[in-house]
Amino acid sequence: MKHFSNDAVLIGLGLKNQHADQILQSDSNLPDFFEVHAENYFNSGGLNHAVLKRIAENSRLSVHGTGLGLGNHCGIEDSHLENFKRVIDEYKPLLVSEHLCFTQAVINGKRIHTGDLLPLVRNNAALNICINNIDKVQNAIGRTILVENICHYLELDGHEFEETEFLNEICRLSGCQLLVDINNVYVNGTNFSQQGGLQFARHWLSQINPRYIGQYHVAGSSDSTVNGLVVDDHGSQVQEDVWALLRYAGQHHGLAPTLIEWDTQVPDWPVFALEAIKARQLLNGLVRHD
Amino acid sequence: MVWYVMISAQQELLSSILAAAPNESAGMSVYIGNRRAVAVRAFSSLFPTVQHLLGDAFNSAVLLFIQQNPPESAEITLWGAGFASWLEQQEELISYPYVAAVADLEWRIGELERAADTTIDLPSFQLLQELSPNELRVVVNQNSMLLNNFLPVYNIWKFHQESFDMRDLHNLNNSICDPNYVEYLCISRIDWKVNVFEINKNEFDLLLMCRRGDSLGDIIVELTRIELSFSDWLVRMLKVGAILGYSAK
Repeated sequence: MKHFSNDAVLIGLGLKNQHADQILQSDSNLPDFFEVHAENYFNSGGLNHAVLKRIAENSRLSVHGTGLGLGNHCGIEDSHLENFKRVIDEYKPLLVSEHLCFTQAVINGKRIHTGDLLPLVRNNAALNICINNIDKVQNAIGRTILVENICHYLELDGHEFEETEFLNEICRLSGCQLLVDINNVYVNGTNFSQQGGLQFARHWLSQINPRYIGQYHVAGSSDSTVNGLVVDDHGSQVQEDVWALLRYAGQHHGLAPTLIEWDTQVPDWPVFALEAIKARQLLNGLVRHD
Repeated sequence: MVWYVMISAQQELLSSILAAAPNESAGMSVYIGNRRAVAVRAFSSLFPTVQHLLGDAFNSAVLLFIQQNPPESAEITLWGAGFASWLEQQEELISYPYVAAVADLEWRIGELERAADTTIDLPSFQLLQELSPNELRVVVNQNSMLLNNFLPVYNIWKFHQESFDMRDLHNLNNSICDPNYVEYLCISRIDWKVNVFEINKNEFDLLLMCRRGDSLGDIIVELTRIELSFSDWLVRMLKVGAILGYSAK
């Protein structure tokens, strides 16, 4: 496959519709893989599948889910899992991932979707629920899933675990791996930690067991805030602090496939592609040549 | 007890977001805003012409709809199911019944865009040489739908597409003013683009016969009665994407 890099690290970009033409016509400067959101491909046919199949002829893919709800107390919806499996079976991606959050709850006897990735109270009951849900998903799709840490906008009561401890335990007990979203940690630290985003995130990263890390996400947040809170809107280029944290993670935990997310106010392809080049230069600088 | 607390915590958090009370905390404001933004973005994509028709009222309509019909699916493209029926029931739109009808048309277009691909079955045309018309039936394109309206839904929808020819404005005005107006539509997809064709009543009735599984022989009898040639009809039906080929009855 002509666009594979010989570098030590795989760099990926989120696949955006507006870039598809340029990607298909490009002969060079493509990332090592593209990430797609699983739910965008639940439909049975149509143009989006046709385009993705063409892109997949020359590029590897990562399938990233947003709706399974690995932390749902009401469990994983069977129909959603079937669709998720169908996308994975169709495209045989390099990586498969989802979020550690809840996305549905039963209200008045109906499963209602949250429209967002909502945080969990990290206690033993939640740990068991997550393990059961992750087991169900991994058994259904026949492979290991990467579980992503989310950005949260509320500080919940009742935690029995620190977030990093909870994530490590989930990996230990379920056999899944981690998708460490560095920007999410940074935004959480900016919003809720006295230490600020950078210091909070460095400490957070130091607590993660490196053998569980399967992938990194980096992203930028636009300058707008909501009632003083920074929102993880994936709406700008990656900030310097987040690049620094990626460097820190690479130095201390080793390298892993790294994806740059940009989902709102998406720039033209050359600007987005430049983010992949920055990531590659940063991480190649960490590669030890023995 | 811990299980109950956890169930309760997730239900309580989601209930608070759905209620979207004023003066919520900063964090709740983010979640409430995110959910609304996701809905408005999705519905803008699913119902672009309805958005034009409703203007500033579109966002409020979407938010009221999802408040009254909280989405159950993580597939955001499915959140729009039922929106057209809901619009039809809104008192504010009683004088504008075409808004709900256009929403229904756009929803059907979206369904066909997402449907499994179909292709014309060229080898099946060989059956015309091998079997008699009474032994054959027409295979209807499963990515096609028939609609008939007593409002100029098609012309109103067409007016808001980039391809609209301003020379057709006269037709639009006439159709809006015609108390006896009726239209017959075939919506179909063969390749990637969904097309909407205005067809006449005879074509509509013939397609209903095809959908019923009537034999090609019966269809030819009907074509003869209305003095339409089989080959002209076949070419037209292929053009509007209504049929894919033939099969033995």
